[in-house]
Amino acid sequence: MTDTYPESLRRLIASFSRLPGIGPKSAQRLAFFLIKSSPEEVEELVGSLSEIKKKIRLCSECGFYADKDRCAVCNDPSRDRSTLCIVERPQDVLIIEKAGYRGLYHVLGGSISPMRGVGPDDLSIKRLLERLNATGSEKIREAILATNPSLDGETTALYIARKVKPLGLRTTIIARGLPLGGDLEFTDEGTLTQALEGRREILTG
Amino acid sequence: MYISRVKMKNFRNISPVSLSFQPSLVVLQGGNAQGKTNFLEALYLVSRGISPRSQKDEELVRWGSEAASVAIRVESGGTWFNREVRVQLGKKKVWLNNGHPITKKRWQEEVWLVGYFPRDIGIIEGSPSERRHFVDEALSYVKPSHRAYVKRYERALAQRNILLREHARGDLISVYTEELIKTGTCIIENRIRYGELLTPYLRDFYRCLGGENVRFEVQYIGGGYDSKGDLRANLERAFLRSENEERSREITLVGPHRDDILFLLEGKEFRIYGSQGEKKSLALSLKMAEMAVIRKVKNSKVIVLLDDLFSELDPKRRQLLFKEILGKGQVFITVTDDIPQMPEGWEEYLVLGVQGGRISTAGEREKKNG
Repeated sequence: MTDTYPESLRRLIASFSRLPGIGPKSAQRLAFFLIKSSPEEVEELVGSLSEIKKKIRLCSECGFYADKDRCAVCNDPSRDRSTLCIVERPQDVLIIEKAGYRGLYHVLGGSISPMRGVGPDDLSIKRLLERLNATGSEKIREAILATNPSLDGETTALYIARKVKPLGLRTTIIARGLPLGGDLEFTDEGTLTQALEGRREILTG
Repeated sequence: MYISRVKMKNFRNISPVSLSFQPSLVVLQGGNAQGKTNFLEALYLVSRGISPRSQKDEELVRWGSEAASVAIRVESGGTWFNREVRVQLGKKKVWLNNGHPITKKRWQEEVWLVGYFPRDIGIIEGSPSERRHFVDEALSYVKPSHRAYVKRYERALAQRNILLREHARGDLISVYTEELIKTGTCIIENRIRYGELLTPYLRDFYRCLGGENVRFEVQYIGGGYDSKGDLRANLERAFLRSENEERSREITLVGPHRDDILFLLEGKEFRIYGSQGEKKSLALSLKMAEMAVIRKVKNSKVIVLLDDLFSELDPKRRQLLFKEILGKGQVFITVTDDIPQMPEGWEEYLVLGVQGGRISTAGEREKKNG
């Protein structure tokens, strides 16, 4: 059907449909929307797109998205520089931020998975150990592992924990358990088992 | 608990059909390859979420059609719910609970059903993987978290085997070893506990079908480790012991993925020494024991499917089996020829004729024939 479209339109639709979550129909809708948009609006989009590749890079310190050498978190003087939260992907930083965390981050760039051909050397683990090893006023006292509770996330966490332990700093992993607003009855047994294992003293104030 | 209504569309060779049932006995009567087994398979699939033949989805859809569906109404504890499965070519199966899409993991209500099919003899005479599959399926049915453990274990195992093939560093492999020990211990504990629950019933049913005074035992054999005592410590020791062999053979040699279950009759293994009749009786006894465990653990009646069984059971054993299942839940059986003699008090049952995929109540069928 799209064969009848002009070539430039077909190319645009094809480019859109390569994006995650965009099927052929959505790709067409986006293309038609842009055709009807004003030249300024399209220019703005083109500008942002070409800047992504030119300006966005990974923070040399933690691996989060940055437009300078260091990201906004690493440059923020009000941050607690003694705790380091280790996450798999840059977008995980935003999720942990929402939870009110005020320390620093380290982005691994994925999780270990031999099936997908990802080994420890493909992730930012060497840099992590350098950061944890650093001495001086910015010495990190606690490393918090916040990888996904999937098999790959947990084996990655275990691998890192074994490397970090000898450095003598506090190594923790975020708790696995019940979601807020959830219901005991509809929680699967695996989650409940982990929640029971990770139970803690109740605070009565 | 019983199935009060069934609606099928384009499921294998079954013509579109809508039927109502009482909580008693349903007999499907017809020649070979007419659709009796397909009908039972459909009930099994919609109730338990897997096909007992474990084939590809495409094969479930009637040739030339795009989609198949099986819907049942289940009466339970004075109320009812609808469950439906839709199989579409090239798409994932869709499950519906009272018309709302649900995931298999989050079924609100279970349909308790067990089925015996002639191919189940493979559990007895096939490879250890078939016995593990039976136990894992039966166990996950009453304890869904077991399935999550098995899936997680399988993934960790696959990852570790890749590392062994690639001759990866020991510090990386050991992370997966730790995971296999942790998850593996849960899997083995579950299986052994389930075995302890199942075995008394299994022994009783086997004695009922195969001989009264036989010495019957079940043994759980650990794959490369000792399954008695402290499992975690035994697994750790076994992994340590087989480290070199694992490295040279490039595969994980220790763990529940290599376990087996031995059934022994007078001290001899069924798989090797049992006759066809004895193996068949044992396979049937396993399914009946699975039923008994559900009754006990879930405190519910269990729907029973028995495919092509009665032609091969002698009248005495047939009576014994009927005594065990009739009146304790709804039963669907298939027969090729005459309807077997029913025990006293069970003269009332529904007969469905099955011919070329068409299912009709016997009365209608007679009208057509006459």
